Amino acid sequence: MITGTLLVQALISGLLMGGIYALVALALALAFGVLRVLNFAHGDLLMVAMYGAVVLHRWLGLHPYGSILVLAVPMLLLGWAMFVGLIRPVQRAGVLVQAQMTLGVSFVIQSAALMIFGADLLNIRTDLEMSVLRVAGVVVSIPLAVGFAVSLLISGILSWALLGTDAGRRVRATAQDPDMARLCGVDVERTQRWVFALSVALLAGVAGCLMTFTYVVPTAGLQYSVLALLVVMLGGLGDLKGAFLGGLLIGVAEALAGVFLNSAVGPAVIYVLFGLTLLFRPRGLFSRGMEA
Amino acid sequence: MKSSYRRWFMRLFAVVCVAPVLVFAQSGNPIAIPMITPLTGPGAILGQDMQKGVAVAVEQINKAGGIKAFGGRPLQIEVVDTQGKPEVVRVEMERLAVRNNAPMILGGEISAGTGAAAQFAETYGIPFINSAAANADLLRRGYKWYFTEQMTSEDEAATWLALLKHLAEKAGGPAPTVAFLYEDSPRGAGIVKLAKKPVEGAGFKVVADVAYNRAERNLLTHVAKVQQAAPEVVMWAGYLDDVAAGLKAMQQLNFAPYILGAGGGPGDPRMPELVGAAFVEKVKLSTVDYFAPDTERAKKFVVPFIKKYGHVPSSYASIGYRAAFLAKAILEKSGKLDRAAIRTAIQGLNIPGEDLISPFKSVRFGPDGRNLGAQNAVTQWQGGQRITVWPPAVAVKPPAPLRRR
Repeated sequence: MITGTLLVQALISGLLMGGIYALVALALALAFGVLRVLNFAHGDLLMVAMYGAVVLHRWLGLHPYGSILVLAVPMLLLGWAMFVGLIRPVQRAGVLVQAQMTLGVSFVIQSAALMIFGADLLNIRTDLEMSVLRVAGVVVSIPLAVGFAVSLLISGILSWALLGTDAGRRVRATAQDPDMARLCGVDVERTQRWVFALSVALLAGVAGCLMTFTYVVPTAGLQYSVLALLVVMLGGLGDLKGAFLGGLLIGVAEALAGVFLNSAVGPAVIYVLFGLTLLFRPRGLFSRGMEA
Repeated sequence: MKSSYRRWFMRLFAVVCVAPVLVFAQSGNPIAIPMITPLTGPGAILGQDMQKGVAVAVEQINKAGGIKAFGGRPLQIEVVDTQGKPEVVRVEMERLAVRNNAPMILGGEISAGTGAAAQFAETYGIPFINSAAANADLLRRGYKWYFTEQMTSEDEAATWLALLKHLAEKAGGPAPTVAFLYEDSPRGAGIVKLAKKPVEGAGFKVVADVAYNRAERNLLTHVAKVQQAAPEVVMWAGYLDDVAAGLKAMQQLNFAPYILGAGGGPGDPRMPELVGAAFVEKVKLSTVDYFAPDTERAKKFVVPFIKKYGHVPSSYASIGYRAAFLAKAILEKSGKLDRAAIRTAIQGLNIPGEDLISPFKSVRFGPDGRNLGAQNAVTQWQGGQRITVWPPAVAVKPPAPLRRR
């Protein structure tokens, strides 16, 4: 029997998980909006940061939240190098070439992780992991709530940076029309390089949040890539607000499917939602993204 | 004189050149037997662990003189990656059977891949011996070239019920309430399908039946659904990642029923590290298993494994060890690398329980390819270790009692 408490539990749990999904997708949406390159290795780069958090915890005893700041710099450099070495050369090539390139990177990262760390599940045990807040019979997971807060914070900072700073204006100009931006004196390549590097650096934040309650395996990247792509397409390609809302929607839909459906059909609900969006709102939830 | 020296020298030269080749052909040339398993992809943990078990077994076999029926030729198990995908399984089976002319193929695959491999083996006429998948359906297809050494999900369901009855009897009072929680693959759903009717038939009230997809990242809602039904015993079939996520959800929900598990997850040696040893013991986490590491017969595998890898082997690792020794036994009996001779040898095989590392009574194949001696054990986390608690014939300690509410 489905009680009110169970329903509220599912809604809250789904919403908080959705916040994390939004955070995973935001970086992808940002990079796509400015570069017009869909990075299929996005989840694998996140997986690299998650392994980084595990290594920092095992070597230095660093808490996953503490690892965010430490990992941000190497992730930024990794993003920078990936843009210069791999993305830039295929930026003007067709979509298929770009997809093949990023998919290739994804396989290389996966295989490297398997060779270095093996297939074992690696996690970080902290006091925070099981901590919860109980409100009227409903359990709120603290790590999920923190993840949600971090997601809100990063979205807020991104919005402010994009709307209220000169650098943000350059980014928006590049996203809207790179040729016109170039004519107006914007160094388009530099802007794109920074945006891609920052989008990869953002994954350090996501990894820090994820590693407080979940684990990492070499194939985790693929799951996160698929998830991020679904969220980004649901929200509209390149639309940050849409990506945030898309993440929340997927989180809630997943949790409610768990309550109402009692089978493997649960995860399929997300794809039904995705299909309906493509059918009726091909430019995303706010109809502001590129047509998928 | 000069020419006889030359002749003598030529003979010596020929002996020096040819002898190593002959010796190599007699005892140095290894007998290569392939084993299919997922080394990459989502099921990589299965194959990677299995590979470690194979390495320990091959080392022991070759150190002890190799395959005696072949003049002491060493055994080589070629572990082949299938990525856990049935389509890759088919391609690899074809490569191994047709191009490599393998005399037999060992199976360390999950149920879907094993089905594809068995089908190919039947069409092509090559012995395929499964040591991993527990799916019993394949045994009902009348295959002639498919053999399964592994226990089946039917055996698992029967053991589940036997232990549940034992716990209820010891606890006294009315029959405890039961909930089923399982990942919805043929593995998880299959065992629950087989167990549910007999459990209900034995007078237990099933208060919840909750399925989930293994890919789900957050099991809080599913576990909350089970908690709402307030079962005393949860019968849980799952893999390592989903059971770990579910146990974390249980901790957050303050929900600690008695857990009878099945599948690779609940008994995995990594579980206490992943979710906390105290909680694992609080829920009396137990699992129907084909490997009981604390039993006397398992020592010949567990001790060298710990020496080599520094940790207790998982059940998956034991599959690799079992498969390699089974291959050795088959080769010793057949004495030939001919496929038909190998099939006949498999049919006539009878390995007694004391020679095995598993809790099986023996390895002896029936006409349908089933291992007639397959027998499960139930292990339970007690004092930070997996202790064999069932059946009484192999139990090291009794199972933790079920406390009634």
